[in-house]
Amino acid sequence: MDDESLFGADLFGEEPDWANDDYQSQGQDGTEGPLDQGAQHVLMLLDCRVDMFRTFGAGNDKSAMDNGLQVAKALLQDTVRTTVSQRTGKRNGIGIVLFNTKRQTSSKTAMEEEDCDDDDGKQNQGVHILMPLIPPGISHVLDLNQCLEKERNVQEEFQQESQENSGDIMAPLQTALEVCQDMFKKAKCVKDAFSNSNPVVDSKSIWIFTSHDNPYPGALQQMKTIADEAKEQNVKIIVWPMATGGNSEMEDVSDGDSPRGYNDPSFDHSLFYQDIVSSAPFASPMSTMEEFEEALEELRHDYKKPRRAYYGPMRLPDWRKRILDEKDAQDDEDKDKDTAIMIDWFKFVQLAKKPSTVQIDLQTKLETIKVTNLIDDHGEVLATVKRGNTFDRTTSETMQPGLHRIRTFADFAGELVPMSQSEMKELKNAASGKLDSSNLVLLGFRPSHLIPFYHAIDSAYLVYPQVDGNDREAQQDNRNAFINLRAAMIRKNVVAIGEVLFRVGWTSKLVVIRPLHELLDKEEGTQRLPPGLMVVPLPFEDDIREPELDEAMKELRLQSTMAEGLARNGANLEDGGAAPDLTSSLSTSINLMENTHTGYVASEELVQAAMDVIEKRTVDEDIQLGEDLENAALQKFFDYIEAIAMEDPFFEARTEFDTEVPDEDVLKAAGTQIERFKILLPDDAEKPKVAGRKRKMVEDDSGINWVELYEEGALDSCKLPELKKYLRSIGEKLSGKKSDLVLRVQEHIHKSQKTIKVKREI
Amino acid sequence: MKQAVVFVLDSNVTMAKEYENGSSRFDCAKQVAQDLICDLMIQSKTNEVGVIVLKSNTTRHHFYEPDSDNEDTSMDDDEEIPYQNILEFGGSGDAVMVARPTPSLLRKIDSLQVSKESESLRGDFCDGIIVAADSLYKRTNKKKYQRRIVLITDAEHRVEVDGEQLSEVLNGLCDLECTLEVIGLDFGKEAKFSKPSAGEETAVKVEPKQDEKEDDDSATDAGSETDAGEDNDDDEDGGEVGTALIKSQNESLLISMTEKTGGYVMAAKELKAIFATLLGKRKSKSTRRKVDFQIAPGVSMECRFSLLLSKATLPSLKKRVVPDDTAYSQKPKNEDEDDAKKSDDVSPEDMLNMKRIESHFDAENEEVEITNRGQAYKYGSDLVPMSAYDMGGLTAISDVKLKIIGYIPNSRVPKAFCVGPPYILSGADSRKACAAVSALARGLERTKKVAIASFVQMKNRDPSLVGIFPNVSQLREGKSLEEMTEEEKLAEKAKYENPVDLIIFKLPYMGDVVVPGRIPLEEHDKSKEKVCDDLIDALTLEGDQLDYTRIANPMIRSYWKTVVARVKDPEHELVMARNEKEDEIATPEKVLEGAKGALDAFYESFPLPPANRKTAKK
Repeated sequence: MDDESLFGADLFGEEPDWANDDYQSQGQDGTEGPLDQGAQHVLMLLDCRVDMFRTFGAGNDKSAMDNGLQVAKALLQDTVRTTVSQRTGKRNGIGIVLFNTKRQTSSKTAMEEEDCDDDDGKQNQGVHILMPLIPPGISHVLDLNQCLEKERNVQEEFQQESQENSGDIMAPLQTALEVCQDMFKKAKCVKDAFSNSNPVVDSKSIWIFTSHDNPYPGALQQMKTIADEAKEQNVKIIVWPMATGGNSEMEDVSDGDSPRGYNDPSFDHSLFYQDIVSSAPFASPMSTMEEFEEALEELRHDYKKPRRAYYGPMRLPDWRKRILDEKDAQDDEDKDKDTAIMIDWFKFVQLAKKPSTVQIDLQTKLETIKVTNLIDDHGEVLATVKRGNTFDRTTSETMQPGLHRIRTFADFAGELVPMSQSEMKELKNAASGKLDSSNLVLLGFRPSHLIPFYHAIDSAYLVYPQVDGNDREAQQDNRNAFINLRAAMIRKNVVAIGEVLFRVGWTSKLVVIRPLHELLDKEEGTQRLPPGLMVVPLPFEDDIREPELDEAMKELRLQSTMAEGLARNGANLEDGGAAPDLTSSLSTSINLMENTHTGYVASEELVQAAMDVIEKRTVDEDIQLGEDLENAALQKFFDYIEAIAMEDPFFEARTEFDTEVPDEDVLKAAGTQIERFKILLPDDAEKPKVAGRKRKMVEDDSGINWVELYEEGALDSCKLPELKKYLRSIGEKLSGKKSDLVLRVQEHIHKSQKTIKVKREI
Repeated sequence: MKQAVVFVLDSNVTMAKEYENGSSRFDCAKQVAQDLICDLMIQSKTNEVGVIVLKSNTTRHHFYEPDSDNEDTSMDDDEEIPYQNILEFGGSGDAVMVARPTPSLLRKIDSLQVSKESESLRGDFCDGIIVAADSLYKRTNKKKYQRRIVLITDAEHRVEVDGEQLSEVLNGLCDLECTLEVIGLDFGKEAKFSKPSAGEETAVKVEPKQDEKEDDDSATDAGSETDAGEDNDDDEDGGEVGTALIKSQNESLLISMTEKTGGYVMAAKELKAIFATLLGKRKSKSTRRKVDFQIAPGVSMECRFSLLLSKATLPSLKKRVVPDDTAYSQKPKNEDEDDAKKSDDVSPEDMLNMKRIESHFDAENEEVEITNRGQAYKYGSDLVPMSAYDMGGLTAISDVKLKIIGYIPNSRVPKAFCVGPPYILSGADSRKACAAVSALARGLERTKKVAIASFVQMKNRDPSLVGIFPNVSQLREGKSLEEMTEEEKLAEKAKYENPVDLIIFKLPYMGDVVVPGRIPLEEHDKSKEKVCDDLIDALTLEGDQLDYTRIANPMIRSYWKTVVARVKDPEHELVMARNEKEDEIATPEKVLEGAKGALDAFYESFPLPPANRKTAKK
């Protein structure tokens, strides 16, 4: 019995555990393939040459360095928010390294103290680690904020002094790249595919923010060597060309590298960087936050690649037989019969959620370690399970004193029926057709219109032929089968019904497999959705709910019945059936039709009015789901949390979101159409006002002398069900706390006593 | 809505007739009743059940409760005893009323036997229905219940019909909105009436007297009100012809009764057929909730939304603790792998309860008292402590509402973006809301658009982004046209042509979609089209083959089947709903056989990689 079952984990465990930080996508053999993404780490290299600190002027007191730091902040925030709301990427690290710094820098800040034991030497070579490579938190955002708000003067601390690097043996950027390599190697958050028993491919990027397109002409070869080394280690190098402030002080920068600045919009990658970088997505220098945000957005696609959820076989219906054949195979021909189309699975819609709160120790401000003790009626501890920072699974399973005394039962109308956890597993295994590995089994095809689109109990998975770099030929065969089967499904307008087991130990599900058409971005022509197959979980019979019929549906049924009647009449006439009075028969039917129109189903005029509103309020056709339409509530939540963390007393919540359209704008766009729609809507007949719900009175069989109790002031001693009996007997409401009920009883008795008294007096 | 169901079981001697598999009609009846009761118990704890046994040796029902001393009433008993040979029980089996069923009730049903010599006993199905109707009336009148009487009989016993009384009872059942469902064992006729017959007419179509040998097997054509009277003359002729006639007349009588009340008469040959028919009728109703539907500024109305799909779940297992002074508790743990199952001498009632106590500790292993604890949000690698005041700022204040943001072409909302489960939005009983919803549904359908809206599902919760689609339902093959009632057919057709309600699906906000990079797909091979087309043709499912809307979740089904079996026998082995003999989630054998050639051709045209573990590692 494991601790999960003890603590009432969901018996189904249906959903892939995306949320789990330790989650690693797995193929059926538990290994990772090339598409499996580990964490994504970014090291930002900020150039500290003089021009990087020059303000743009003309009312803009920002410098290129400010822009760089701003990008860093945005990246930090985005990483944190994604980690929190998508519950993934907890290991994603971000670090900031300054290069071309002055030789002597001031003492380290708290942020720098961690994990930068050996950067002292590098400092002297013009490199400084501003933020080590670690998963970011609010403290890092706060630290960067200090730099941006000039509470910490980065310029003073780090700006390169003129002519400082003229005598360098090694270019600071080269040193910086080495430092980065070192950081990737040493950082705890980075898992190297070759150094860990759990081979995960982490993606590593170095982003260089600089205004110089040819910083070290003499050192190009060495730079190239080190860059190549980095690339070999799967490090991606990208340069962000920065526009710098006005050139009034250009003369001061006389390091002989002819820096390009504010007035020079070009950045010639061919001079130096083309041999250094992995790709050059940004051609010209950037200066506005819009440009940076756009650039960041572009790179998001890279550093936010989806994880392959699963990979495994898509088997054809006769697979069991083929496995048996393979087992019994006498000759070679029958061997290797257990074949399948190998596929990769992606879940590409993942709705963001607010995080839940954790308990902290108010003194240390650290998360507490929750310990759950299971005890019996005698107070004896059966098991202790620690959750949180130091949860030790092994200890919890082997050292528990009374786990073997716990029995599990199914509750059937109050009677306990023995049912052990291992039996539940057995049931689950049998319910999944005893599949012993993750599988998608194709069971058959149906015309696509026969599966309603709304029979989707969960979000869809996208399925593509497996990408496996090892055997290209086999891969092509696999692709061919996938492509041709998909094409045939489109051609024949069918969908497939299948059964899927994602992981052994879970229950299998029925799914519908639909061909997925490529979706292109109209404007840019880029692929929004690649062509493949889509797998949608279907409901079982138990999962389907029957909605109640509304009045419109009833009216529609009535109308259809009438229409059928009319049609039948017509058919009878055509067949030469007796038609004693054609006119009266038709008019009766028409009258009936009219009578059936009760106004619940929209009139044609109203439908037209609705169409006009729809046309007028159709938003930009290029709107992209998943890329537009901001989650206002979540944004507000994060802004609020950040404001609290930063103790910002002037925090003002953002109010403008594309998902919150002001009424005025709507009325401006479609006021007339909306008004017409409104006028055409039928009114509801006013319901006669009922003074509250009439409660049924049920005789009070408690046998209590209420008046006596009232007079003794002992109503409190009554139990809740007794009070309710009295209240039921007088048709009063039963809601509220016990004190409310007592009060209600008191009031009633008081009133009735008063009435009796008055009557007597009369 | 909770249900109140009275099962009327016929224990006449003819029910002892055995089927080929060795079980008798009565075994079958008991099984059906038990399974249906279990279903009711599983569906809701509030459902209530009563059981009435016809032709019983014992007379005990809510009109007549003998003292325990003279419980056994013989035929010579006082004439005043009403409805003799009717046994009624409910609850745990002791009460004589409709009540919440317990497992003991199932055991009591299990212990029932066919009454020998029952030919001479009274207590026919008419009496049973009368007692059942009265029982339901007494328990549920003016209360919100869905009421049913389920009669399981072979109808091979003589029936005394007091036409007047029966009419009165049937009218009463109509007033109660109680349906009469007859599971007729080896019946020759059947009928289905989705609602009570219209009109105030109180006539019951009763077959001519049983001794009048009329050849009339059409109940619906049977004459007007006929009083079968007190005809209870013994017909000595008996024999098969007599029984067949009795049965036929009884069947007709039952059909005319169900016509009156609404319900059905099912002609069942064997247990399997009964379940095949009864299955698929268990879709639970969806709860409707109110929502303020804001179509545009100034145009809002109260509508209703309800879930179309909702994952069925299993209840969690209850945990009990074996007292530590029992011998078993001393056993070392790993001696028996499945130590939580059986072999305890202690009954669950004598076991101890288990409690969970949570406490919090700091890194030094010191307990942190509740007064020293606070809340915080994890923000990346840091925590942001939140005071109660801070938390207050996070409460969204909003009523349940659905506000349209705008409309986009439906081509921009591929199905892959829709996140289930879906909801249905309707105008319920408001003319204005129905008209607005249907206008919008038709407007969206004609313009091929989808409404994008923000949806606050629960009070004071954050809104979700949703797409509102017209509910364009299609005629489904799963339930074939032949199986649909006339009304269902019309409704489906009408919906297909003219949607009147809307379907709501969640959609992703900005950042909720991660596209798996550019994956090009080459053109397919034209020369291999036929192989693929043939495969699809050969594997095309028809009718109700693999109809997921009729396949119960095998895990849930197995669980309950096991639980119910263990109510009767705690040592009962696990009952697997999906096994080698019976597997609903598999390609039908016939289809598979037919597709052999097509499958082989496919494998030949497309050499596929091995699917097993070893090779997958490559």
